[in-house]
Amino acid sequence: MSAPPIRRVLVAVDASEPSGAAAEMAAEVAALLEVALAGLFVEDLKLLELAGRPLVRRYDPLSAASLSLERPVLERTLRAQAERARRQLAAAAGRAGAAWSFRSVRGAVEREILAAARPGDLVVVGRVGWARGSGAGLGRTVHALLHDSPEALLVLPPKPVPIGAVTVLCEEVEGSLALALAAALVAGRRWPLRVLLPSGPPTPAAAEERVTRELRARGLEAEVRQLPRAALSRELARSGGAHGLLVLRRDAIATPGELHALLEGCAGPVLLIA
Amino acid sequence: MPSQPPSRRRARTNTGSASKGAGAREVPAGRLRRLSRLDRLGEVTSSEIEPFAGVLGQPRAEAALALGLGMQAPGYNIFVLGAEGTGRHFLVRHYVTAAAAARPRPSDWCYVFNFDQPNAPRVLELPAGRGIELRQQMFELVESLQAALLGAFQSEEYQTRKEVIEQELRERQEQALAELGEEAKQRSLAVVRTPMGIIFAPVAQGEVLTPDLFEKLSEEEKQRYTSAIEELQEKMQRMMRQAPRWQAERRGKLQELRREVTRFTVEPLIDELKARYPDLPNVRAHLEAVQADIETHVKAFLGVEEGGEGQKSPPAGESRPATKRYLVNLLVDNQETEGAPVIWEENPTFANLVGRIEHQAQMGNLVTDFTLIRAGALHRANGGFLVLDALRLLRQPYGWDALKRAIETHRLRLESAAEALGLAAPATLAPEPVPLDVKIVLVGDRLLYYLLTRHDLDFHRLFKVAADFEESLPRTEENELLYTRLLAKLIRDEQLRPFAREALERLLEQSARLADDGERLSLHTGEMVDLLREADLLAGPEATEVKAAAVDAAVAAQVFRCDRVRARWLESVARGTVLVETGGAVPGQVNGLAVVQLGSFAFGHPARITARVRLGEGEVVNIEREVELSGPLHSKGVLILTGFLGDRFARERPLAFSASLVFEQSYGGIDGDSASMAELCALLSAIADVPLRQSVAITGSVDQRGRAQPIGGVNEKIEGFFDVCRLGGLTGEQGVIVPESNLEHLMLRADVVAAVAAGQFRIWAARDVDDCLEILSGLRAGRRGPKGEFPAGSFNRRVEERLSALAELKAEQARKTRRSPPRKRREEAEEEAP
Repeated sequence: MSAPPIRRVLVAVDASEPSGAAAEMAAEVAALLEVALAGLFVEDLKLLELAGRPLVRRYDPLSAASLSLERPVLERTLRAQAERARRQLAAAAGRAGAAWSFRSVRGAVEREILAAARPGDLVVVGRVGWARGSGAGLGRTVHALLHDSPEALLVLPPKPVPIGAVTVLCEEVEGSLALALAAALVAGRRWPLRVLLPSGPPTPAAAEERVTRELRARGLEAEVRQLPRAALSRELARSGGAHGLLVLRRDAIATPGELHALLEGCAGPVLLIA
Repeated sequence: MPSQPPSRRRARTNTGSASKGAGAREVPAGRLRRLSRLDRLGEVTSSEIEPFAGVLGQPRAEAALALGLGMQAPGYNIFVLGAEGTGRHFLVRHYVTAAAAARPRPSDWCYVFNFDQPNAPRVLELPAGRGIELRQQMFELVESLQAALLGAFQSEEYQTRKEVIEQELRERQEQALAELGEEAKQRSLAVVRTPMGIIFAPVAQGEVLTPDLFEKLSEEEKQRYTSAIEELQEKMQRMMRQAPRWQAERRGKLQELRREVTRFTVEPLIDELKARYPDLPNVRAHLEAVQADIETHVKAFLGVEEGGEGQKSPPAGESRPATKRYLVNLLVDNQETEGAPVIWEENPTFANLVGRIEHQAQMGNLVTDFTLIRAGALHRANGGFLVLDALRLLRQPYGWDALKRAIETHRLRLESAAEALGLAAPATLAPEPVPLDVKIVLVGDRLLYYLLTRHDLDFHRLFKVAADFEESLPRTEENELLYTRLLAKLIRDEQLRPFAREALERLLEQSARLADDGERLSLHTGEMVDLLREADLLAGPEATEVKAAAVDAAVAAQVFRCDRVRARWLESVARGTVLVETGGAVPGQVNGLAVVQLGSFAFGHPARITARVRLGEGEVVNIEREVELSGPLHSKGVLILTGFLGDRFARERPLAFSASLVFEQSYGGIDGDSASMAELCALLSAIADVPLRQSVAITGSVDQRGRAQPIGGVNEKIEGFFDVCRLGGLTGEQGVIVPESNLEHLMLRADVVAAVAAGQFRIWAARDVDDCLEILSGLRAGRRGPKGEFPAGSFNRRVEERLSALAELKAEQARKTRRSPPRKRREEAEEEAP
């Protein structure tokens, strides 16, 4: 069992409160995996293009005042947000003890994140962004990233939840990257580890025992359960949040709809591996 | 003289010596040391004697202690005064322990958090033993609540209800925004959420209008967009202004939900606890306050976010800082106490008396809370007795004032010394005062008691009872037996070997010697215990019992360890460095006797006193006084001499001489009047020009009528002269004159007694100066006859004749002066003439 080749943690930050929590978690994961942390702030080009359009008004959330949307003011605001995001990232990395870098770019948010992602990157994003407020559902960025599939994607819930424990869906008994990554994450913190195995072929009957043995060989104890495939989605949705971080292979979920439903319904962070 | 007789002895003047004519009498050897005989006990050792169980010779102190300890009225605190080693602590322990056993066990005292005034911790009084129970139960309650509340707030039910509230707000916001968005859409406007707020933008065919397209619009279209934006703007602002109210409603609902869940979890546990204290309304009230506070501050149990995970459990036995407020600080625990407490505070500092508020360093700051309040001796003694050493207490800054304040107000207020003084103190706790009911017993020496009585106006009001300890008791036959039983007890307590009867007799004699009085026994049991231990050691390892020789050896060893100065002094006499004549006769010179006190050891030695007389105005010059080496009592003694001379020799004519008196080879201060008789003899010898025997030393004070008065240290003085005489060999002519009233104090060394018995040394008892003069001069002193004259050849006659001659000489000089006045006076007279 060897950990998947995660070489960097890339987190998209925008200085919002959930973004601060995302930076914290990204820094913690980077420290656990002993890789570098890279922060990315995207100045949304679409937003900038709104400035200067006729009759466009913005309403200040603090004063409810109606203001015109002027490009210089907008650019200055975005720069200030970038600086605030940089400070959040630096503080989080400092606390976790992770090496970090930060970059601010201008462009379409989804495209810029994908462009910044390199092979071996674990991309960390919030489930929803500004445009969706704190409501349910998946944001535009997550949709795009799911579609374009980076190697590893960590989707965070709107409300920050500490990891505390890890649940992993283990499709293969031999050479499961999800299990290896989950093991790497819990090893440093002694978090409880829960392993879910789909029952029936191709999972061998003695899979529980073998997984347990393998983990013990690494000095880890885990609760290992076999479940029928039909019950997996419900159990995963229940486990997410109640049992901390959920780790699974993206193709473990049969359809995009089911995947979206899992991500929307899950109260905790979800780590998807390609 | 360095030795000053104790006032007790000085007050005992020998009124019976006024009758004249009997003369000095030589004291037989049998009167020089009163021996103890315990023959009536038979041949016994100390192990066969019933030990004395009580307290010997202190009826006055016992009565005072009984009164003070029995009296409940305020101010009846006790000051135990007396010398060290007289059994003060033993007696106090004996009485206080008995009094404490008869009193009920006092309450436990706890400090708890004051939810109304956090900086003023509240005090709780509980029956003895219930304090520790409450402390444990509150600790367990907090532990239980931590788990129960965490479970309740993590439960699906709570999370669901919380989510419903959150969802309600979100839906409200989303619905308002959606309605706005729908209206905007119908009016061809887009609503976009951005980090800078919500944006309205006019759209056409799904795209935000560019400036070019906008310009191409008709004025009517432009106006329509403008109107739509203005209308929506108003609605948007109305909606945004509602947002804080919605948030407040959400918070209120969440808080109510938290209260509801908390109450549901906490109330049964608190009710269960309250049921255990049906008789203690103060505890029940506190528990109710705890419940109300937990409902308000439930986050203290849950950490930052209720329902959140990742809380770190505190170490075992500790609570989270925020939940410490529900614990109980058991200040005084009387669970194990039997009767009332008796506290002996050996180090009565301010803080040790009234307690202290400790601080802990946190992030560079010193912080405190009610759990860091520590009890003082007064807290622990509350409901009982506190015994303190008065001197140690007075040496501690502010301790005395704090003690007085506490017993005067019957309240124990915990404050720092700076606060007590009214100085600026850092903001800290002001705990509720503890009601105080304590009996204070101070143990100190007499000087301290009298100083406090004189200089502290509160003292007598707060310490009404003085337990004054005797230092000796009469040496009656009955008391000797009791004292022997006391010795038997001390021997047993010290686990020493049995003392033979003769050894006990020696100990009784040594006790009398310690009392400096042949008729009394010392109550300084501390010194007797030292002697017992040393005698036991010197008896040797093989001995089964301690014999009299071991006691003698122990006494000798004690003296030997202390008498380095005496040995050097005797050596100086032997080498002729210090001049002391013990033979021959010299006019105007006499051997006085002085005592040097070196800690617990004293020794006597002769001091050559000389007098010189010349024509003068009747004054006696005390040379010591002129050079400020004379203490007030010595100066007084010398002035008394003038009074005596005037009374006896100058009733009808003035004294026409001047005399000087000096202690030869004395280089230190002199005080006391015990040499005044010697000085008078030297002076009279100088006036009469009659030589005095140098083989006889003299001690005693004298009054204006010439009567001898007792002095202190008589044994040491006699032994001091004896030692000097023995250096040159005892002649049988040498001896010491002592006041007759000092005879009962004699407890001389065995070697002195033996020398007297063998006729090698002599002791005389004198009633007045005439007795002394007759021994010293060999002349009759003489009394005035019917014509008012002293007999021819008598000492007094010689004095009077010399004084008459001097007076005549003085008168002749005066006549000459009147006949030929000085030139100046003559010139002045001429100037004044008309």
